[in-house]
Amino acid sequence: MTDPAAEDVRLVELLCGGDANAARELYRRHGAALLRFGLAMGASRQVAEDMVHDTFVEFLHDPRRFEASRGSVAGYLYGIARHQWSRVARRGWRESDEGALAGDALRTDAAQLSEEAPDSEDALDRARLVDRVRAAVAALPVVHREVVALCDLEELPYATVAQILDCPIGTVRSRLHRARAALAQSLDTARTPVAERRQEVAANAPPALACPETPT
Amino acid sequence: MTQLLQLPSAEVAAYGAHLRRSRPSAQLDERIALAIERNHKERHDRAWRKINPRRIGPALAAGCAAVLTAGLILWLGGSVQREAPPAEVADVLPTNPLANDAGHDMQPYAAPDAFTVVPTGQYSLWPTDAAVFRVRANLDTLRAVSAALPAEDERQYWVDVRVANDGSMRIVRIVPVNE
Repeated sequence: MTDPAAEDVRLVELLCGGDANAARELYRRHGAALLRFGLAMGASRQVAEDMVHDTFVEFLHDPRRFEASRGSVAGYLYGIARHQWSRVARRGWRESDEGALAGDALRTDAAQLSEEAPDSEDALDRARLVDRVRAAVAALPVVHREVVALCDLEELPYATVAQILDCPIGTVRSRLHRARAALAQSLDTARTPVAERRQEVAANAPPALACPETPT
Repeated sequence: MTQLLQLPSAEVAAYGAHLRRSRPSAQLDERIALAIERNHKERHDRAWRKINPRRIGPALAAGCAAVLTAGLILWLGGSVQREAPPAEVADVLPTNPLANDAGHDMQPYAAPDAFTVVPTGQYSLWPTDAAVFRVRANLDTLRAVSAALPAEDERQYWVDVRVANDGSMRIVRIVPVNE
């Protein structure tokens, strides 16, 4: 069986030779993972899709910049995505798009919920849980959010994450340790009774962030 | 050493599973397909632009100039080589051309320092500026000079005569034969 990483390198070589099908195959292999990375970083679906698009456009512009000796194609693409994310963050999308983010996320969960189990209390709880973790991850500093997104959510090896973040493996581990501690604390705080939490959210959150009414 | 905290917890795992269900939308697929097409077309255009006819003229002119320059250099080099005396001729030049004459007991000629024979190398049908001939002679003009049978009281001399390629001639040195 062919090693996926080696196959990726071969596809990049074909792409350098002008093979458009190789580009399509690379997108098929890595597009979803890059989208997940964008979502895990806290972007709205639209922003995350823009990020994936811009990542591929930049990659296609000059695929010869990829050096197989320095790491995997996936790591290289994540690296570009990370820089795209930095650009998005610098543009300050969060301030203007935060309402859209929360609303988007809730709409997605509600849609999934209605598709999967329209009347299920469990599904509703799961949607709340996902929302809570998403909020906790989004509240982390960017350097911690990156390692949680890549190590815990994407389950990439530390070496790959170190390549993506361009730092030693020890740094990845220490950041992950701090990120997990902060995340655990944040999730503990969030595990308050639902009624209290709902009142708290209703009192503090802007209208777009308010949770939809759920059946009791 | 601090032990790494054990996460993902069930909550984080559930969030990870939720994320893994996310797939690029049809719109994103379409945008990427368009980007790939556009990129492919741009690459094709770039490759064609490299041989754009507008650029052929200057490139052709530069190529012609290079070929002409190289040809000129080769031609000049060849003509200079043709006019220069071959190495074996240059080796012979310092010796007297008469030295090899049969029956002549003249010694090999060693040109005096002040009149070293220099090959001209270029632009001359005559390969040297001048040649020095050594002639056996005596002071008595009525008798023939014989190297084999010199008279008892006869004193013979070597007379170095320099003949230049402009036709002028002069005696350079006279030395007694026995010295």
